[in-house]
Amino acid sequence: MSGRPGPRRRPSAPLRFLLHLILPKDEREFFLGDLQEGTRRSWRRELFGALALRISSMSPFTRRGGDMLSDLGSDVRHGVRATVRNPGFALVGLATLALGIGANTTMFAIVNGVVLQPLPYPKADRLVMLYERLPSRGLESVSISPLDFQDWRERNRSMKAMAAYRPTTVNYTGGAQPERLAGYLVSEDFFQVLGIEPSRGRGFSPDDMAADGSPVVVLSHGFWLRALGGDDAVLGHTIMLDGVAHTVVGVLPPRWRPPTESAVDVVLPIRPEPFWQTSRGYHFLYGIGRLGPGVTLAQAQSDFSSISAALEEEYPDTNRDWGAVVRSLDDALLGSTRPQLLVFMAAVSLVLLIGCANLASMTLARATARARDLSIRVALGAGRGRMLRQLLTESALLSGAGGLLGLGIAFVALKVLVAGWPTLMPRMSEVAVTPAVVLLAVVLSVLSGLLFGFLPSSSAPSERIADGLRQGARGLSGGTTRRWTRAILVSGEVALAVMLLVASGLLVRSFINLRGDDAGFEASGRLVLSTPLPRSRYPSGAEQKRFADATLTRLGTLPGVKAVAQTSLLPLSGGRNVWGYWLQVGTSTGSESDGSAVVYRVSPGYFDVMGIPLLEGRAITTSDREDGPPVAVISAKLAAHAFPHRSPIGEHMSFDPDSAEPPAEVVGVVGDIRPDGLGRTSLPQVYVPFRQRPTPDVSFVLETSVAPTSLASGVRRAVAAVDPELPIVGLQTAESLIENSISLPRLRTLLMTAFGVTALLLALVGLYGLLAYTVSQRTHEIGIRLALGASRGTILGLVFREGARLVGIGIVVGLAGAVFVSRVLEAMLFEVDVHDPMVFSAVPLFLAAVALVAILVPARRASRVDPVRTLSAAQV
Amino acid sequence: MTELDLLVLLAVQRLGDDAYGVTVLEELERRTRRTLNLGTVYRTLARLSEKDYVSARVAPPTGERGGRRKKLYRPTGTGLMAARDAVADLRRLTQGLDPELELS
Repeated sequence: MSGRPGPRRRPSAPLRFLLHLILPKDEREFFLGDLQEGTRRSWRRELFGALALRISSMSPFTRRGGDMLSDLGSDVRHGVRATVRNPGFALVGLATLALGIGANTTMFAIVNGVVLQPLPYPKADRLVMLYERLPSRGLESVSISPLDFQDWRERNRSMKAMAAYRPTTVNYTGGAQPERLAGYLVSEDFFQVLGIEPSRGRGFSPDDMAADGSPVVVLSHGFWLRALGGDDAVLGHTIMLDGVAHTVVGVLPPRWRPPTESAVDVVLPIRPEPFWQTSRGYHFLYGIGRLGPGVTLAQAQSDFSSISAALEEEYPDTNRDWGAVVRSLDDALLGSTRPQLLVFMAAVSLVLLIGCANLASMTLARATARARDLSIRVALGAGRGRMLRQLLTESALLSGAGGLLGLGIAFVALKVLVAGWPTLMPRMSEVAVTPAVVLLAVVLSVLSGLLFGFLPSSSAPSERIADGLRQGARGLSGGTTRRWTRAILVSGEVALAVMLLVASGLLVRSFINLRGDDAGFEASGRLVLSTPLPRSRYPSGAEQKRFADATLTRLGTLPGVKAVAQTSLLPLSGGRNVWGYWLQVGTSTGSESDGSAVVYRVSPGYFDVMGIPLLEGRAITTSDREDGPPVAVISAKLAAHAFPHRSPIGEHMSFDPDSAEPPAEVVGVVGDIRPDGLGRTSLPQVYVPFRQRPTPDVSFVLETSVAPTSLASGVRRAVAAVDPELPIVGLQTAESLIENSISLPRLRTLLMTAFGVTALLLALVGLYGLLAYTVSQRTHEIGIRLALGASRGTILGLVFREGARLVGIGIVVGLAGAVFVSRVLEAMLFEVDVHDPMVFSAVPLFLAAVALVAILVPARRASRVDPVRTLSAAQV
Repeated sequence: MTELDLLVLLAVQRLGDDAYGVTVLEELERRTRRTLNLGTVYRTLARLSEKDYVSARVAPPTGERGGRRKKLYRPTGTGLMAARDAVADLRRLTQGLDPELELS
């Protein structure tokens, strides 16, 4: 027994850090606590235990390394010796393979996690998403109105079960500081439809759905571990959400994931509210269903279409033109992601292919240079098979090491990608190094080893031993087949590089256009933040206004703040709040809305602080009080669309024709902004005074005279002074709002450019390598030519022509391929034609220019050959 | 259930309300005279938890543990039943073998 108490041995800092690093996050605190308590235990010895714990917590797959190679002991030893003797080749090869295999493995891990892995629900292919659609407005998947959903559920004959849900956010208090959690509000059957039951406790019962039921919550596994330490006793206890005590009734299994969002922390019952019953015009539910036995997607679609048609007849006022959409969950989640991923997968495969071509070319050159060595071995009795095996072992060694390194690169790259871009694409959280990913790295290593090892070794010397011995290294240089093979390899590399460069050129141009796109507001020197108010503590508009006013005052007095304003929605923040609007003609409004707009409820001074230009009329001012006549400011696009050829000032528009509230008077027109992100076409905007239409969605914009981020802690204190329990969400500069909105295109462009540049470099190295090698092998011949009176210019031209021919063929083939390949990029391009003439002409010119350098260096060397020295050396 | 599973489960049961990583480890080392490491105990507890043989709850941090919390385990009904079956199997299998195994 280790015994307590005893002398306390304090472990060294590096050891503590190492343990911290190794231990799985879920167990770290408990494990380290235990170690500290068991004072006399050796921390160093526990390192191995911790490592085993880590490995067993990761995956059941354990890798047996190196067995396959152990039989080939002598080949390996020889291979290692050969590699060490020629470290340049080994290093270039290793780097090429590690990068190539690393990039491919990374991409595959993403494709595997996002596209190939079935969704983690039983019989996931039977799950469908349900939407409404309004084709007359170009809207193809709209959330569903509760009354429609109810009718769908009652009348359909194609679903085994159907549930509704709605993403939400709640404030969690009870941790170290208030926290904003992502949540789902779900109907009773939600878990049954997905086929997933909580791993602890229970799901929701009909009682939980009652409007007056006591508040209950089901936790995600991740939240349970993170916030509550995986405590089983939590069932039946309460946690504070939005200031209300919720009883924890269940914990979801670890593999559970929400169908459409990347992650949720809590799942709550959705409870009917009185306004649901008032109109079919409120659309906010998502539907998910499980197809009945034997029912196809098409049958379900026609079933729901006919229900929609019936509803259209029964409720023409609200349901005219509305239809139903049934899409498979897989399609709804990944419809647009799949082709993009495949493009990138193809791109990295090309890079690896180029890398292998390069290595094959280099190995060929090396095999030729080693002809004498190999010939001696053959002469001493080594069979052709033995020689082949030797060469293959060397390439296998290299590709094995490259694969291992590549796997390491992929591991790091994935960690960075998943942590840095969690919303890069759906299911990003499921991307991991799985056995399949490791297997791919192994397969890639073996394949690339064969690819660059087999070509050269298949022409390993045997018949021409005598030649090899007699002529030394020069003996096999003239092998026409080999030179041809290398020439084709190099031209192929150039062609593939052209294709990748064209792709990256198109994406770069598209990204430049995107960057140049005007967000419509001034971003520099602005700080933004959101403070969503929980309805439980801010149920009425009066309380919401009180909070907004108090916070505005406090923020406004912070040193360094020039002006502050408030809005219900920040531009580019991903949030949406779309209202229909009805124009008033004479004294009446039509029954059908005249269009939709994104609505911002703002405080006086908002346009000044945001730098949105006022084009006509006036802005929203302090005179627009809650008891005054309702007013609205509209964006230029809306003005042009709704009031063509006349001034909108003084016109009236309503946002709810059924309400008793008078329509709002249009008092001003401001410039358009991009609510959804740069480069995205979007709905026009309407601004109304927050005071007249308060909401719990509260955000602030600060115009600062100092660096905006330096105000962060002051802002936190100011908000906490008004409400200490309120979490602050998205405290950032307005510039980062813009940057975030284009972070995906940026990453895409960066990736493709990295691929393109890598391909270019590899192709250049290949080209240079081939020419330099040819020159060195032909020194003797060049010497003779010079001695016979050829000018240095002729020799330069000789080598130059050979290089230019390789590059020329590569460029032509590459451009032809690019014309075809660039089509798949269409969906990713913004204001750039897929056959953009500039890119298609710049890429070959650029490539030709840099290729010139790779050609000229060896060509000049050839022209400087000293015939006297060369020829006399040959006679020795 | 592996031998280690059974040993850890029994140690948890012996420790009552005080069963967590390091106490389970020390109990095992004291009673079986084996040398184990904490990682092994953690892995076994995780396995038992997965099989629903033990349940966990988190206890508040203490100074002795550097302000860290501990995770307390106790056997579930299923766990106790499984342990009982395993021990009964052992008893039946060792019956009559006492001299050879030098049990007595």
